[in-house]
Amino acid sequence: MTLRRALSYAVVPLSAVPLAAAAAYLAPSVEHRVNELRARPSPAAVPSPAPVRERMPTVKRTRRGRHR
Amino acid sequence: MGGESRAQRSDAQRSDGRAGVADHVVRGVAVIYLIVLLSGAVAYHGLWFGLARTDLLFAVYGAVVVSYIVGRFVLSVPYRSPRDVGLEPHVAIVMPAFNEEAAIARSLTSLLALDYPTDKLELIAVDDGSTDDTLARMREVAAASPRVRVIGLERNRGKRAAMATGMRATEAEILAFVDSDSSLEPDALRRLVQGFADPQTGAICGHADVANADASWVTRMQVVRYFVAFRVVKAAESVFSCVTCCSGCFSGYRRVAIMPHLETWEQQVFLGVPATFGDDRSLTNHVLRDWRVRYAANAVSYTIVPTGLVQFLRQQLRWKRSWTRESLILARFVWRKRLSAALLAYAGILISLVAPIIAVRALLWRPVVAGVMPLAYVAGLYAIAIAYGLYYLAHRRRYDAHWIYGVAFCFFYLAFLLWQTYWAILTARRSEWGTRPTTAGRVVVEGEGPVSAEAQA
Repeated sequence: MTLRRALSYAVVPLSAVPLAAAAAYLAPSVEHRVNELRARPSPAAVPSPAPVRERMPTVKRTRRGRHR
Repeated sequence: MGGESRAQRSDAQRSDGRAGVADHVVRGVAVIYLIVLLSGAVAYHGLWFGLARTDLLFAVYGAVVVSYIVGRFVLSVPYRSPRDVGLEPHVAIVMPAFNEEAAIARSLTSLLALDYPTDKLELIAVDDGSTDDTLARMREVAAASPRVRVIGLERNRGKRAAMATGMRATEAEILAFVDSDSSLEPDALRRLVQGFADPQTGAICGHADVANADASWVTRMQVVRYFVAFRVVKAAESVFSCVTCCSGCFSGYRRVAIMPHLETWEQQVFLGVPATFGDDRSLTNHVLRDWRVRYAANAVSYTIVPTGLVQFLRQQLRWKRSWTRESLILARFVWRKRLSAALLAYAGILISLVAPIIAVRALLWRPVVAGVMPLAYVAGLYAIAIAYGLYYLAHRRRYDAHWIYGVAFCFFYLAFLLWQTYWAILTARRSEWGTRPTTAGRVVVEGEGPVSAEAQA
C-alpha cells in the first residue's frame, strides 16, 4: 500500500476530529442551557394568574389581617 | 457490456474491484462511525425534545429534521431491489435526443448490448429536431442494427413531445425511457422490469451513477450526490412504494398507467406557460396517484453530468423549478397514499422551504443580533455531510476517495444551491432549459427570431 493511499484511508477516522472538538467545545454551553430549561417550570405547573376582580378581595383580606 | 460503454463506467464503479484487508477495515470503520454519528444526532435532538414543554418550536423543528435525515438512512437499510422472478414483458425503450451527436451512438450501442430477448425488446430513438448530426449518428447505428427504429421530428418540439412520439409508435406493455446521455449495464433492463410482477406497480425508477466522475471537481461532487439521491432518498421512498421522481436517466412505466395521462402530461401548462422540463417528475406524479412507484437499485445506468460550475448551477435551478411545480401537485394527493409516505413527502417539502430561513438565522441573524457564533449549526451540517460520505463509502467494496467530495458538496450546497429554492419559486414560470439552446417552449416568429412563449401569453 502506498503512503498516499494509507493517508487517504486515514482521512476517514480523522474526519471525526472536528466533530469531537466541536462537541467538546459545545458540551458545557449545551449542558448549561439544558439545566436552565429543566429548572424552568413548565407552563402547566405555573398557576395562571386569577382575574383581577377575584384577586382584589384576597389582597384586601391579607392587608386587613396584617392590621389585626 | 460492450467495450465502448464499459469505458464509460464511472471511476467510482471501477474502484469496486477486488478489495484488500485495508478496504474491509475502512468499510467497517465507516459503518461503525456512521452508526455512532446517527445515534449521536438522535440523542442530541432527543435531549431537546425531552424539553419540549419549555421550547416547543425548537424541539419540534429539531425532531422533524433529525427524523427526516436519520429516517431516510434507516429506511434505506432494509430496502431491497425487486426480486428476480424471471419476468420478461414486451418492452420498448424510447430514447429522445436533442443535439447529442457526441453521446447518442454510445448510448444506443449500450441498448443493443442489453441482455434481454430481442423479440421482446423495441429500441426507438427519437431525434427532436437537432441542429447537429444527432439524427445522422442515430441512422448510422440503425444501419448497423435494424433493431433500432429512428424517428426524426421535423423541428424541435421539446423532450415531452419526443417522448410522446416514441410512446405512440409502440404497443409495448412496458415503456422505458433512457436519456440520450445515459448508458445501461447489460442486465439493467431485466432487473428493472422484475418489479412489475406486482400488478399494483405502475412505474419503476432505475439507479443512475455518474459516467464522467473524474472530469472535474463539479462531477466528483455529483458522484456522491447521485448516490445519495438514489440509494438513500429513492430507496427510502420505495419502502412505501412512493418514489416521487422516476429519473429521466432510466425508468420504466406500465403502458396502462401512463397512456391515459399522455395528452395532459404532454400539454402541461403551469401558470399559463407550457411546462418544457421536469418531464420525469411530472410523469411520475401522474402515475403515483393510482399506482405504486418503486426503485430498483440493481438496475444500473450511467449518465453524463455537467462538468462546469455554471452549467451545473443552471441544471440545478431547472430541477428546483420543476420541483416547485410538481411539489404543489404532489402535496394535493400524496395524503391519500400511506401516512408514512405522505409524512416523508410533506417533511421533504417543508424542510426545503424552511432550510434557507434557518440558515440565515444561524449564520447571520444570531451572530449579529445575539452574538451567538454558528458553531452548532456548522457542526450539524458537517455531521450530515460526513454521514452522506460514510454511507457512500460503506457501499463501496474498495475505498473510494470520492466520498470526501461528497462532504465538500454539503458546504457547496449551503453556499450556492440552498438559496436557489426561493429564486426557483419566484421564477417558476420561466421555461428555458438553461443548459442547452432550444426553441421548444418558445414561439418562433418568422423574421423576428425566437420569442419566449411567456412573453406571448
